[in-house]
Amino acid sequence: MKLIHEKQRRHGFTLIEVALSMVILSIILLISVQVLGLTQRAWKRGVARVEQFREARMAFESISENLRQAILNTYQAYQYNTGNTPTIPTSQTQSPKKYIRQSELQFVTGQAQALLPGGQASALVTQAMFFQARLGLSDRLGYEGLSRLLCGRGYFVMYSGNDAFRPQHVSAQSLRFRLWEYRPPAEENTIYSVEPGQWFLKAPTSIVTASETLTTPADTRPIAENIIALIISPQVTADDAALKKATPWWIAPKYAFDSTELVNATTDSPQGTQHMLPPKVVVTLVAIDEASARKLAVKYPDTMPQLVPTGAFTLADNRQKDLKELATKLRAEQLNYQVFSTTINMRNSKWGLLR
Amino acid sequence: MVIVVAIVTMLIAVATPYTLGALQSANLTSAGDTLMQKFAMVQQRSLTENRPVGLDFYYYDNDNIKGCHAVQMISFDPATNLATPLEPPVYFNKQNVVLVEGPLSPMFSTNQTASSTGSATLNPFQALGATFHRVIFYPNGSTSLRVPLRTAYLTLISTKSYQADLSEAPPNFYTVQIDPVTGRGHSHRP
Repeated sequence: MKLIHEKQRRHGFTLIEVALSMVILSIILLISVQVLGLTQRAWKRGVARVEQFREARMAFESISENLRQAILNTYQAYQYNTGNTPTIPTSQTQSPKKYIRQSELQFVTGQAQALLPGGQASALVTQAMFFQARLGLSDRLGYEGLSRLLCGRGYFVMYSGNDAFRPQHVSAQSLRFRLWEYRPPAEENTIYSVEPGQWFLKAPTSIVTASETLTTPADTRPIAENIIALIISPQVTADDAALKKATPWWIAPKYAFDSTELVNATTDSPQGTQHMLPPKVVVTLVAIDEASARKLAVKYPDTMPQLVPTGAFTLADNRQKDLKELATKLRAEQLNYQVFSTTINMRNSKWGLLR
Repeated sequence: MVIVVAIVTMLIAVATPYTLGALQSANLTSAGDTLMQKFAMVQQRSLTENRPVGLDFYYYDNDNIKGCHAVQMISFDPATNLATPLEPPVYFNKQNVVLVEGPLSPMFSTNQTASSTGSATLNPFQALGATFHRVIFYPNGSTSLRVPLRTAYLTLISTKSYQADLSEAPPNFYTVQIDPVTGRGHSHRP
């Protein structure tokens, strides 16, 4: 009888057993919640990075594709004069002096603030690039099929807000470094009627505004957010550099290259690199993710963050060193970043003519 | 034993709203990311194949929820206005998400051309009595959208947040903005 009673007592739990099981269960739940929270945060960070860098990657691919098609349409013509219109005689009886290489188009790279002076210059960082290519852009309905229309194109990074174009229900203004694309349609292609260097001057002021209409879309449009640096380095091939016993970036030691300028002239090549496309262009983009950009906005609510060290990316010799310094600065600010870099072989470059 | 069961029940009761909220949020993110990817794919395909490629948005009633419940990539012939499906449709309602109409999605509210909207001609949407809105991407990167950038967006919300007259955004949304000129997509989250 006593044995049966003892067996029956063993079927239940004691208070200590219940308390112990509750403690263990609570510990397991606490750990699970913490692990779940950490996993969710890591997942969100990962998704934010992928999303952010996908935008940067697409913009980078777009730049590469368009830049590859840059064209100068260079031709040989009689030279009558010096100055901006050397191939136009001053009278019907004027005799030509010689043949020269000539083009009405322009390929230009350099410091953004130097290429685009004006009110917006202080918001521009690193470099800019402008060129023409057969990009087939037209404002007219039904012209979408004319895919080889000659158009101007340019890229630069500018720090600005999104008041003019963010959705109405998105209340927060976001001041960000944005990569802008200057894309005037073929109808605005005024390169034949203005002096070189002038046709893209209005790029920073032609950005999307709140008054943009259907019939007059802005020529300068944001193509990626949180791009903090655009570095453009025109270069020659390794063979050409070896032949000249110079660095591949000897044609643009300060990143500046203007196809309309008479520079690098020698006895054998009196026009130097004038009206020539560089054979290669190294394009580098540095992007941060949105979480990092939000962190910066909190830290620098009223001023543009100075992420690119002063004096960086002014000498092509120091490009790698400057990139390392920028990476160090970004790490010090605890920002997630990614560097996109590629070498673009310019399809329409006829650099062999210089050899 | 009863105490343990009661405590576990309480814990589950406390955790359920958060878990459901997280699941809804994950579904919304997944649907929004899918839409962004579709836009990117359509643009890429148009560029590589050098022909217009479009994305059809199908609007119909689903369990009394009005809005766009599916998208489908199509090839588009401008000469005949003929659309041919390139992929099976992607359904938002499978993720309990809807692309709402009205002020949160003004992209299709104005300047629609005859070829970019109408009654669905492809099944299963024709059988559902759906209407479609079409965004065509051209090889030069531009789109058929005839609206300024500030109104070129669509908003996805969870079906749990759906109201017939949704003039203000719910706490969680996924807005996809497409630049009509460059075709570039950008997402906005709260």
